[in-house]
Amino acid sequence: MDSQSTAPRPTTSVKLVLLGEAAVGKSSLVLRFVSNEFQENKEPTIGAAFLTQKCSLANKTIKFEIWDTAGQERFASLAPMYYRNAQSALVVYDITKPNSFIKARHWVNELKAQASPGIIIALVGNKLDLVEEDTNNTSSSNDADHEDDETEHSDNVEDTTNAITEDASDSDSDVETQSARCVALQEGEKLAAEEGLLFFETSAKTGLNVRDVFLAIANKIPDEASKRRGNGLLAGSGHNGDSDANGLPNHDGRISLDASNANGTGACAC
Amino acid sequence: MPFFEVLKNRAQSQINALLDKNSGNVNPAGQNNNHIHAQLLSGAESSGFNNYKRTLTKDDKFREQFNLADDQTLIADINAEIGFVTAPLPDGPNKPSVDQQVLYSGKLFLSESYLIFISANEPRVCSFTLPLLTIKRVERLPSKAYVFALSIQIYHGLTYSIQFIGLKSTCDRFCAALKNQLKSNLPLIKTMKPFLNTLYSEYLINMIELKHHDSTSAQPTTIETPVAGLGQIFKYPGDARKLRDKSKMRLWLEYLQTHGRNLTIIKQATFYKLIRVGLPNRLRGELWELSSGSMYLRLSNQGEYDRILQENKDKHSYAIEEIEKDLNRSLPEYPAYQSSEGIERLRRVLTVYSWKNPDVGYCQAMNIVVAALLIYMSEEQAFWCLNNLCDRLLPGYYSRTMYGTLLDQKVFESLVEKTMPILWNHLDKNDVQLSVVSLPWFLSIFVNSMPLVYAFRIVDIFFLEGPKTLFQVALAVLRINGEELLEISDDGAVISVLKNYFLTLDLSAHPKSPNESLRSITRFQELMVVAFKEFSGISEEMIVELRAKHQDKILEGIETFAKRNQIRSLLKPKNFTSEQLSIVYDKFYEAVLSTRELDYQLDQKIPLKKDTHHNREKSDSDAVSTTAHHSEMDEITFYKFLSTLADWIDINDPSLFEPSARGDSDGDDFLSRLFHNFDTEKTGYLSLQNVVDGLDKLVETDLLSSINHFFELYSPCVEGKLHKVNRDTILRMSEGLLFLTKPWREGEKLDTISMEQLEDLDQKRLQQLSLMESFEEQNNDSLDNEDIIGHDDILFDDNDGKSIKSVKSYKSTKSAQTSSSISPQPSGSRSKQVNSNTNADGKPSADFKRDEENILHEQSARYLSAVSSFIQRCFEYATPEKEEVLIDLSDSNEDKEQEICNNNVALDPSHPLSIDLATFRMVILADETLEMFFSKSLPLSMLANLNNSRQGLLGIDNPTRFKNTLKDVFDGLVTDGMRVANEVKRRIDDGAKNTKGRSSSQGNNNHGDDDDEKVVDEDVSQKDRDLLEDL
Repeated sequence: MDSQSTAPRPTTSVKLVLLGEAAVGKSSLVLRFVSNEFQENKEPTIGAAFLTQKCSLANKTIKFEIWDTAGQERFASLAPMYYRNAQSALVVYDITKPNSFIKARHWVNELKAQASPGIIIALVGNKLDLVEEDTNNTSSSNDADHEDDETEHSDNVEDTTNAITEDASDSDSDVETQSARCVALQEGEKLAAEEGLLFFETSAKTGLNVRDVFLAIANKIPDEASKRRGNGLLAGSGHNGDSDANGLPNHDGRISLDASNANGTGACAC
Repeated sequence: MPFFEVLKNRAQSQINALLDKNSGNVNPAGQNNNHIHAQLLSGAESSGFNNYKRTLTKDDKFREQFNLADDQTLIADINAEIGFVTAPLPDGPNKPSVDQQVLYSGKLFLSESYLIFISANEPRVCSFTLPLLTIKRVERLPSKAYVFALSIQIYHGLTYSIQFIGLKSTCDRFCAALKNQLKSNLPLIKTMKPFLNTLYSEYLINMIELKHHDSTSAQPTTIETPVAGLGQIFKYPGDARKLRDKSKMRLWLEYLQTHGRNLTIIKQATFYKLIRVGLPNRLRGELWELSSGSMYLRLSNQGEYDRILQENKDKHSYAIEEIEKDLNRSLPEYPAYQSSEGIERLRRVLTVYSWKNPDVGYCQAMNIVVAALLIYMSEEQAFWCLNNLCDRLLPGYYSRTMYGTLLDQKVFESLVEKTMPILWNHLDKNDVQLSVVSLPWFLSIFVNSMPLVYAFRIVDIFFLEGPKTLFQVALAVLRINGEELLEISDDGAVISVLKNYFLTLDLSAHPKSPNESLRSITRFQELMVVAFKEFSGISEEMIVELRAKHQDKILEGIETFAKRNQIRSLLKPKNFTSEQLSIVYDKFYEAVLSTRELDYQLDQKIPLKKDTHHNREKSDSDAVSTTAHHSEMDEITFYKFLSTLADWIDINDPSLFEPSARGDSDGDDFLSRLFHNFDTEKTGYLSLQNVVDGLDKLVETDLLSSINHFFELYSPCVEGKLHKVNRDTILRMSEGLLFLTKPWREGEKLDTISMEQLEDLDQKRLQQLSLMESFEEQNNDSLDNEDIIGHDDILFDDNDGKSIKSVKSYKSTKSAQTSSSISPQPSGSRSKQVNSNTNADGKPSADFKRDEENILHEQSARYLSAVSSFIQRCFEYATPEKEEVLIDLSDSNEDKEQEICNNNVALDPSHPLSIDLATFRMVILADETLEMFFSKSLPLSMLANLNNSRQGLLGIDNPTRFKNTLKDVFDGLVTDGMRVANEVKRRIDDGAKNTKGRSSSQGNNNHGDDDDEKVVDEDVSQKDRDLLEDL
């Protein structure tokens, strides 16, 4: 705040919590985001780990305070301790493990019921690298509906070409995909749509989409904040409690609106 | 009573029961053996937190004091003085044998397998736990005059001389007991040799002795090297030279040679000192198991590890799945865990433990702890050490609910508050949750938190001193970093500061000090000093006390969490609010728990093996729900459960709840059908979801759905289609109807028709009331005094001080009136009011009461005729059926049937009949009473019970039912006659009160509270409107 002229980027601290079944790659996502590294054998998180990372958007810097939690079932009773006061959450599942998706649904419910209202939740299907070879095969691949599925999400450029090679070696690839991807892209999309979540499929190993997840959350944060402020103004409270510097809240509000427009251009300077 | 309190009490009694069982004392007639409850609660590990709140028996205390297994009891004890004589070593240390002349006075204990000594006053001066099978010979020493002394020689030559202190008879008794136990341990002696072969200390000393032998005699002998930890292959962590491993080893060798080794070690002050400075790598594993006591566990369970491993070779479990996920993620930086050798060992120890204790199974953090143990220990050593950790040292830490972890975090927080109030207030003010930081320290004994070399130093002490070590070190960490922490305001920063601290433990603690020796003190050394000097006051007793103090709250929290989660994960029923669901949940578990309790008492030997197994399977497959307990109910439990919600089940009817007496009652068939209808997966057990779904159908107020559901109970459902119902089943149906309508037939409950009639009655009453009011205003004197006085008791029943006063004032008025013929009217308006009230209660009441009785009679008759016309109509409209009757349910009823057949042509068995759903529906709709019953009376009565009966334990003599009956009266009154009710409210406030008072006196019962009623009212009227629309 002290040097408005040079760097008019207010830093907002955002508490983010990661939830999801054991070994779906929560810690790996964080590691990729924070230090752009990947460890094949990451120790399971005991209780929770804490890391921070700054993320610079066009007009704003978001400082993520990341709470990476233990995934095992029995640690679930500790989770409220970590997600309390969190403004955002990543609910992670492993696209090769159907159970982890069920668990993700459970976490979404819990967050909606117990966490701070208005928490921004991103649903993340991780380990895309394990199935990336057959991206076209995102549906849980039953033979009859195969063609239809393809046309449905033809936003994948390679779709058609892959489909041809697929047809050639039909049986082989079917077996492969069944062992690899078990949660269809659409299933994730559907859950996200139903619950109003951000949705991504990522690979912490290759880094695919990892930053986008955090960016998307970062971009959504000022939106929420400005909304809150807007409400405050509407309610006629000329004095803004959230901010210590006079006049800044309005300024913030405008900037964040811009930021939301400039979603795509926001770059993570980390 | 809140649910968790029930659980708490039961867990409590369970604790006592477990202990009694273990101690071998016969528990009189299965008192409080609620084995399952604590399991349900705690995630079911064998002992765990049960330690905190129990009343300890003498044997418990004995075992606890000396870390003994559960099969040991205190046989005898005696005061004694002990001296030691080491066997002369050929070329051994030239020092004189330790304390040859010194005698230690203390107490000697004898158990089934051990001879234990502990010095008086300060136990650290001298103590030992000697397995009897290590004793080679016992001699009685020539005693001087009054002294009674024994000489005990150990297999390796060390000799103990024991002088008993006490009466001769006591000494004799002790010696006789010792002799007996030695005898019974004789057959075990052969197990000692293989065990000793697994111990490095044994090997080390034997090798030295062998060298001497070899130099003197020519026979070369070889000794097998005992299996070592992974460190032997993959290098131990840390720099051995820097750790001064060699000199530590030398000191230990000296100690072992003079004080006995492994099992027979005599612990003296030096022993503790040597552990404090850090153990040498090669002896670390052995000394861990020695100081934690798991060595004795391993001694008495030799071979069990391999046996469990073999028995479960190719089996799979959910725990194994979880273990597999973490095998490659346990101390991954340590080279052994990048090799298959290390991974395999880790896998085996963790899986064998998960088989050994399936209730704990596998918990993350165990992998890290075991990986650490395996660096210094063999698999078997690590396995038994893990057992000891889970049972004793980290009680409940790794359980399914992790209550032990949560509890100790609470204990830690309260210790911080006590010892560092300024820091605590600061953290508290800034909303920093300490356990967020400290939880991993405790859960993995600091192994993951600081560099391995230092973590192992803490583990050394932890095994020796027990759980308090963790608290001392954790407190010291905060104390040392206190100043820095005071400048911090969020938990993230706290974590960063401490993380950084742990990474710099090898730096100087006082880098700027001019004093060189002060500069050379590392941060770790400082930590140790602060932990064990400054916080030496943190005692075992203190921890136990604090655990007991906070236990209830933790359990409550866990229970709330489990309940919340379970309710949330239920597929949402249509007809229940979440409050109602919460009551269903409580009742469900109350019923399940009470049955288990009962079963356990009935048969202690087979504590629900089948059932728990069943549940376990369930919990394994059902990895999603987060619950403290997975439970299901069987048929009888279901009836009990239902009886708390349904008025038509009589809890006192033995035929429903005793399997032997079953089969005769009307309700039996209906309830059994209901159970199997609820049991959609046909498992023979009902889960909470089953029950909720089933109840949801039962309280359905949509008439057609409600009728369908009843029909469904009787119709064999094939391929999703409801079949026709044959004659026998029609009779069954009518029996079911009779059973269901019992409360209405017997006048315990009122249905809407009767309500309406009652309302009319009320209406009249109100009219009369207003009439009287106006009448009264003109004629104050013309009261029928006799009649009013006759109803004094009614007013007193009202529990309303005002009314009571009113009566008094009325009486005074009356006496005033009788004493003088002039009417003085001492308190004008008030007495008027009184009079009007009493009047309303008074004169017409008897008439109304009669009317009400009539209504009840009418209702009863209506129900009876409804059911009988139900049968008639059914047969009237039934279609003849050509094919054979497939299902014959009525063997026992043949006679009865025959009788009916004689009276009714339609029942002629030679003409099979059946009705389908449409017909059934028509028959029900043809009768107003039945129609009403399905759409309102039945569902609403159950819902009402859900709303009101928070007190509904499965108790006998439960007043709930009567209360509810009355509630229904009110519910119905207001529901169907809102107009009247409003009128009542509008016109006179007291009127409403009086009406209630009156009704309650007529029903011979209390009434419920206002608030609940209103909620129900709205609910009900809403539903009624829906129903109207449906129709």
